[in-house]
Amino acid sequence: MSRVVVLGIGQSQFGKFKELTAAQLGTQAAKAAISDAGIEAKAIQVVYGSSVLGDPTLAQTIMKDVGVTEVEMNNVENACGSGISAANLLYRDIANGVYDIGIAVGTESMTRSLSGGGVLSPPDLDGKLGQSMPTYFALIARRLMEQGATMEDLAFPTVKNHKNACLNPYAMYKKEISVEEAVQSRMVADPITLLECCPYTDGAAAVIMCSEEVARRYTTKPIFVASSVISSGCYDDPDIDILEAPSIRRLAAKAYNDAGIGPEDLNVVELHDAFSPEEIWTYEALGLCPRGEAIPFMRSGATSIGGKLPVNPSGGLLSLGHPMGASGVRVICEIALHLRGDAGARQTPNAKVGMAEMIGGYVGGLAAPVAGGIQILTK
Amino acid sequence: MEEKLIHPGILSKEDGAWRLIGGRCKCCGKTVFPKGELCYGCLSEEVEEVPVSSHGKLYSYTVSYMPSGKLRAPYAVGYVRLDDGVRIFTPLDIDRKNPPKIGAAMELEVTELWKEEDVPCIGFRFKCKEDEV
Repeated sequence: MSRVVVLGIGQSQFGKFKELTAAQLGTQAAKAAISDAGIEAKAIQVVYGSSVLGDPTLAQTIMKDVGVTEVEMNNVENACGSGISAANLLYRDIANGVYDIGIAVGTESMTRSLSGGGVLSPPDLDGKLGQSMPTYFALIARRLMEQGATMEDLAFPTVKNHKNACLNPYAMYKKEISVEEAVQSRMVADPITLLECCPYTDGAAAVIMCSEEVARRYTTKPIFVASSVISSGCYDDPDIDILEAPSIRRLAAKAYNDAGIGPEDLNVVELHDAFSPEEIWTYEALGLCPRGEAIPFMRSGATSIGGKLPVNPSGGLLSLGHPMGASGVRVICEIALHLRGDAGARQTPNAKVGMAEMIGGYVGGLAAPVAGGIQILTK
Repeated sequence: MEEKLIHPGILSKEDGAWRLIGGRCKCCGKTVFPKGELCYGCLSEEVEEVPVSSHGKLYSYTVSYMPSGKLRAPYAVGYVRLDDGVRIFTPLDIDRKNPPKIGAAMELEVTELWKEEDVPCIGFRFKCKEDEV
């Protein structure tokens, strides 16, 4: 196994760009990553494209305008975990010596999509009966409230992440919101309000990974992928509280084990915050704090910029935005940026180890998420 | 009058009373709803159709103010933990202004959930148990 290096990162602006196709956004991100890596496009040996709602042969369409043809290209769909699945396949190719260098590019045009953010498969019984991603996370949020969380607690991550996004030039929203504005905004799925939901966003992100040997030609400060895991969810067990998030817990255990670290070693985390209460749920699932202590952990400022473990310094899905196929790649870009020390005003000081997490999907009978991915990066 | 189920195999009428039909593993006894192709506990393919409980306790709920599929907003859904241990995702017939508490006793109601080309589509929901309202 070769050590795998994150050599280049890039993203498009996140926002609403109805005039641009998902592929055009993807081309912007791929070009930015190639430029960032300092390589020529023709050096790329393998391409993984990702999108949830996109057109067929997306990678080929994107790379046509980057100047890459006649190499292996594959397209990946795994709900909101699509991008991190694409990045994991690239990681595996490099780690196993199948290729020396390649690119994963995730993109989505939500505004051009007919189905919006719906990711439940139409034949799913729960989906027919009204389950959606907002209702699923609302059911989790209700359980958090049953354990003592207040409406203000549930709003904390979205307020924090909106503040963070003001420091990110690529963010869709660069506007702070108050707890009162979040709590009093229109109800979407009780107790989750509109400002506690991620917006519909267009955008793309790309990451170039290569072997350690190739990386030496381009950088003296490589960022390594210490572990990369993807897993489907486990079967739902009614004896396990949904707050236990067994699918994420098992995913995280594998990611920590493969990297040879524990959650106490992390300096910065980017995670799936499609809904504000979800971030609170995920703190415990990833072991960032003990079970039942997410609220005081968050309230202490630990996960804010300047805290001991900033979470979603990018602004997260809630304010940077959530182009579904792009987010799993984008979180890797953000972590790499912090490890390099290039994150500007939102920089995590002395960041040495970071986690990129992205999850997605719901299938009745399985414990959501059904498509989860984690990469742990080190320098 | 013509009517159809919203989903095949989930309901059955016995002696005039509707029951939810789940699957029970003949090997390990694990019961789930709806029935799967194999046991989600031990992976045995020896799964038989069995009625699951019509009673349970409210585990979590939400009211969606966005429409979804054939459902018009607002609609209430949640999880109910049935008396036989099954946890079921279900539409709820609850008072949105005065919602039940987590743990409240709930009971099955089989009813038309929507129409498809004027044909009533029969499904299920849970409501607060009559004697506790």
